[in-house]
Amino acid sequence: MHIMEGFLPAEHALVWGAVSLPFVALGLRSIRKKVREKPELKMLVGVSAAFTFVLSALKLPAVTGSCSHPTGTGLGAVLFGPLAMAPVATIVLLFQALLLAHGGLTTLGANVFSMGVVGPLVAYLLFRFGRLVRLPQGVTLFVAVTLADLSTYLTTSVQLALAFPDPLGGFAAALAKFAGIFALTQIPLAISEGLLTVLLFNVLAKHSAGELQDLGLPLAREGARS
Amino acid sequence: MLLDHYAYGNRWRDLCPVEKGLLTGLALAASLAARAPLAAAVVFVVMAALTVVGARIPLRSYLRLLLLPAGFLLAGVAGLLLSLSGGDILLGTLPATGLAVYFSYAGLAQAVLVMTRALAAVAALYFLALTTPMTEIIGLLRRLRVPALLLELMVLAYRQIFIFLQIAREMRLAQASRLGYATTGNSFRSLGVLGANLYLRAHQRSQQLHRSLVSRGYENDLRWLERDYPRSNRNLLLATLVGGSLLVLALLLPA
Repeated sequence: MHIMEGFLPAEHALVWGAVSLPFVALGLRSIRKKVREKPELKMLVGVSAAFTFVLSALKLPAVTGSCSHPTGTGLGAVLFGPLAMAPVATIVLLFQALLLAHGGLTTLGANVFSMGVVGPLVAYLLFRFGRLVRLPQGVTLFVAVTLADLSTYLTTSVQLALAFPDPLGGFAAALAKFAGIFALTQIPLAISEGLLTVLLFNVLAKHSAGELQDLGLPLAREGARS
Repeated sequence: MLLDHYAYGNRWRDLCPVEKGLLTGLALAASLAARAPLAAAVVFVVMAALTVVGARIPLRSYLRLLLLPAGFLLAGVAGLLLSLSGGDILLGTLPATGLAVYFSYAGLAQAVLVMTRALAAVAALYFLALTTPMTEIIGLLRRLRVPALLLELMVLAYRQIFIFLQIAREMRLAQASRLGYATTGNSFRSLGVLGANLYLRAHQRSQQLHRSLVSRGYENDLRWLERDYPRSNRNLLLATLVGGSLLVLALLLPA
């Protein structure tokens, strides 16, 4: 979920920008290091940013009547690792702001933090944990992506609640309010995206395990359904 | 993508991106700095007028674009207007939880300010997005010392977006004409296959790109020429004046 242009007050916009900056810098450093070993990875990361953008422009089939778009954060984190996702998310969010009027320039920092830092981190940790305790890959992916989406939406709600605390109830009441309002669209979205990612991975794992291995993925070769 | 379409074909396409970027930056700062709804409204009107009258973006398209962020704006403003912990007017109780929902006048004042501020910022964003193509915006970012790697990735991504959108559209049409989206279950399966295929196409494309670059002497740095724009001191001064006065107005008008 993106915070629209101009919705956050100036101080919040600046602070979230400053918080996201080191993650983007770290991500760029990790990409640079990988590209030095394997130059063709630069193209892959650039092209994957475009892929994520296009994926996020697709309409998801409705689960409860609300129409939503996938974020691609969970998938990206599992494909590239959480670090590389911060710069990729920055590019995708910038394109979304300038080409689709989705999100904005002043809220870029806040949106990068929720979609490029928190979401991917949650997805990646859950995915690794699932692999560690040998859960079926499909289940692991579904849980990782769904919870990544939910954590992104909760982060956004926290950002909004911090910026606009309830006059009486303060931060907690505001958080309940924003999380409650956006839950209507975000919870179906998270479940849809989790399902979609599992389906997508099944197809990929079945037909093109080689391409996935290029990314250094800790995936089971037998496919996600196993 | 309506925004991109107009970015390449508007009256101010050939103005130097620095001037347009400067004005946008100042207008964005003014929108966020505004403490009175009136100041934000002035920023909105000025930026919208510049876009529609100055850059000749058709009013109908502009209004349609303004509706894009409406969903978030309404939901966000609802969050400001309503309160669960008490307020001036009791609106009712939530059916499942029995929580009381109140409307508060303090929330109303805040909501009006936030809404006008957001609309002003959207007008500023649209001014840049509708007059300046992405390639020029990337050039602007280079002047702002954004790391070269990030810019290279942006250029790579921007060039592929339109190809992938086309591929996705064709795949979707092919699937839909075979009843691929007839039921919810089918839709999920189709979309999964579409995404996986798109990823494979993207992966292949990245390898082709790399090979074609290597065969042309690629040494791990992408370089490209940027268009030269005639520097106009008059325009630069105008952009500073308009943007600066908006910022001063926003800072001076009391809440």
